[in-house]
Amino acid sequence: MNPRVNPLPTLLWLELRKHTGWLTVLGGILALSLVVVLRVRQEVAGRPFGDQGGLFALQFVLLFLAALAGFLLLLIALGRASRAETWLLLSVPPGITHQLARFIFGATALLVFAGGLAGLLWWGSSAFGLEVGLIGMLGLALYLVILGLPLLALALLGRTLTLAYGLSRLGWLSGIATALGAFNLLGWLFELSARTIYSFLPVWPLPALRLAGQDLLGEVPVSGLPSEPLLYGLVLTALLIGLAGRVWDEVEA
Amino acid sequence: MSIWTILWWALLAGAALALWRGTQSMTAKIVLLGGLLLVAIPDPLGTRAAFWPSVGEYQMDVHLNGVVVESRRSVCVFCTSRVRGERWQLTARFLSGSYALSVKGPQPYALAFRAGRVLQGGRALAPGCTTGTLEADTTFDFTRAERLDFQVGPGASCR
Repeated sequence: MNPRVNPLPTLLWLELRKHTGWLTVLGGILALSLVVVLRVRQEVAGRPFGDQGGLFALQFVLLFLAALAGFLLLLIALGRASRAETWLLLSVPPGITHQLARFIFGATALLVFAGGLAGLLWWGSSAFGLEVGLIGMLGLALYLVILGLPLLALALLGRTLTLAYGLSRLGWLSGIATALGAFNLLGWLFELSARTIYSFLPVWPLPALRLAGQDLLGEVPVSGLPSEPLLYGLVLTALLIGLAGRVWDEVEA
Repeated sequence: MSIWTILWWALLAGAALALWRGTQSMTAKIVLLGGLLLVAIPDPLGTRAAFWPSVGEYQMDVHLNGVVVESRRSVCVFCTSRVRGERWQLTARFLSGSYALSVKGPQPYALAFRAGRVLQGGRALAPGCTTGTLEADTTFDFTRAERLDFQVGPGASCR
């Protein structure tokens, strides 16, 4: 057989098999959110206009909590991932391939989940007479997903480092060091972003937001979100995945 | 140096030693040592602590040889208003607001922005560079003006 067959699809399929449970929970969160939106739509229907603020806030908070819970679940799923079943593959692929498969799986799951929640928020907002641009809403979800990618990569790297300390039973110490270091690294990233926002990249447009024909974003001084943090986040993500791949090679070889 | 600082550094050094000796993987050693360094020295150049207090500083009204600038309900992202020699310069990454300029005698000005809307006494300016001379009192209205560089005074230019 051809030894140079691309192992990535097989690894992705393995990730899917391993994480069916996590995916089911994510789907459950989406289903619960759908129930929330449906119930809110029913409640809103007969109420006067001034009486709807509380319901809107409730729906927004519940969807926000759903997004947070889903993201945390994915972080935990990537942070707990065990070694891959390499016996299913013809050749031993390099560590970067394993890490890429895990990362692509996590990022895709996050993207679909965030897209679903953004669609639900868009649909739920329309019950209150809010006209939100669907494309802009999905774009906002994509923006937040890209901001979350470094955290996914950090979970992956932290897990790999813990596995590298398996023999000396110092995984707890490497976990603490990773968490503290990640906290400081994100602080640097945040400050770099704050210093350079809106300085050299075009802005990420905000979704159109209208209530009864009135533009709610008319008084906002900026025309979009800064794209610079996304660039830094993507660079950091690539770096972290590369490091995780190297550690994998050194530990498993 | 207090006893707690010494203890903290000793703790970090012990953790670094244990992590260095605990694995065969050179990359893992370096990554975790780097993480511990980030924790140990959070502000190596001493510039981080000074950044956040500097974000809010913004001088509003200017009186400079014959030019008086008054700003009204201005909202901006990273704007600075400063005097350079005989020139008044306003730069901003995003600016919404209104600036009333009173001049005694003609003053050259240069205004550059990349996107957004700028009205000079009710007349809309095209994005890019605009130069000219202020003869009378003029009001500039900015709505989401992006990457603005506005100079008034001798030697004003868009560079």
